[in-house]
Amino acid sequence: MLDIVLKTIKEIQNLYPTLYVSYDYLEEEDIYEIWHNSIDLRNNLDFQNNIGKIIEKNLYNNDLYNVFVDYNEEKTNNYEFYEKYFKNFEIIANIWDLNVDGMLDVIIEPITANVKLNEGLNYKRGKIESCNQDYALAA
Amino acid sequence: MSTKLLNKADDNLKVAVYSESNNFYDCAVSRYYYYLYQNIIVYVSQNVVGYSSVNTQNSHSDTIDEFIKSIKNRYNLNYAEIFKIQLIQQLRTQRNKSDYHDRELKTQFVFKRCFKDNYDTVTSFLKAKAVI
Repeated sequence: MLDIVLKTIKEIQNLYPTLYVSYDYLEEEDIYEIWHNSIDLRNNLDFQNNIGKIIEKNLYNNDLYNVFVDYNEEKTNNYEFYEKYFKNFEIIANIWDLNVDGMLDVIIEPITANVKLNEGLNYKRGKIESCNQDYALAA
Repeated sequence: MSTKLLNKADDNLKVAVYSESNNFYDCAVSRYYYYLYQNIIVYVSQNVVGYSSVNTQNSHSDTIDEFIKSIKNRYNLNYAEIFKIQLIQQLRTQRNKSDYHDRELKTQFVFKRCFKDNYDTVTSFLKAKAVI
C-alpha cells in the first residue's frame, strides 16, 4: 500500500512541482492521508480531474479505498511555520556542521510559547509531523 | 429499518445546524458526519449484496469502502466526481479528531477549511445523484 501512496505523491508532484505534498498513515482510522498545502486547488476543476484520474488509476483500480488526497489546514500551518522560522536556520547550521537538533531544542520552547503552540513544535526534516497548534492563529 | 435510520439522520442534521450556528464546531462535525454516515448505511444496505447494517462488525471503514466502490461503479463517475467522493474519508478523519482528540475548532474559518467545505462538496454531489 505504502509504495502505491508514494507513487501517487510522486505523480502529483510531477504535475504540480511547486506544491508541497506529503502523507500520513492514520492508524486509528486505517487511512492514508495524502495532503498538500494549497487551499486554492481544492475547488480547481483541473486539479480535481487530475487527482481523480490518479486516484482511479493507482488506488481504486487496485481496490484500495482507505486513502484520500486533500488540502490540510493544520499541517499546512505547521509546514509554513517551519519554513518561516526554522528552514534557513537549519540549512546554515548544517553547513557549519552544528548539532541542529540540540540547538533547536534550546530555542523552540521560547519561540513556541510566543506563538501559543499547545504542545510545542514537532518537526522532522522534510516532513512536519502532527502538531497541536492553536487554531485562533489561523483565523 | 431504513425509515427509522433516516429519521435519526435527519435529527442529527438538525443538531448539526444548531451546533454550527451556536459555534459548537466540533459537535457540528460529529453530527454532520453521522447524518451522512447513516444515509450511507441505508444506501449500502439496499444496494450492496451481502452487506448487513445490523452486523456490528461492519466498521465505518468497511461501510465507506463499499459505498465508494458501489457509487463509482453504479454512476460511472468522471475524474472530478471521483475526487469529490474520496473526500468522505477526509470527513471520517475529522469526525474522529472532533470526537476523540485534544483539538478544538474555535472559529468558523477553521471549521470550514477543516470540515464544512468538504462536507458541502460531498453532500451536494450525492444529492445531485439522488443518493441522499
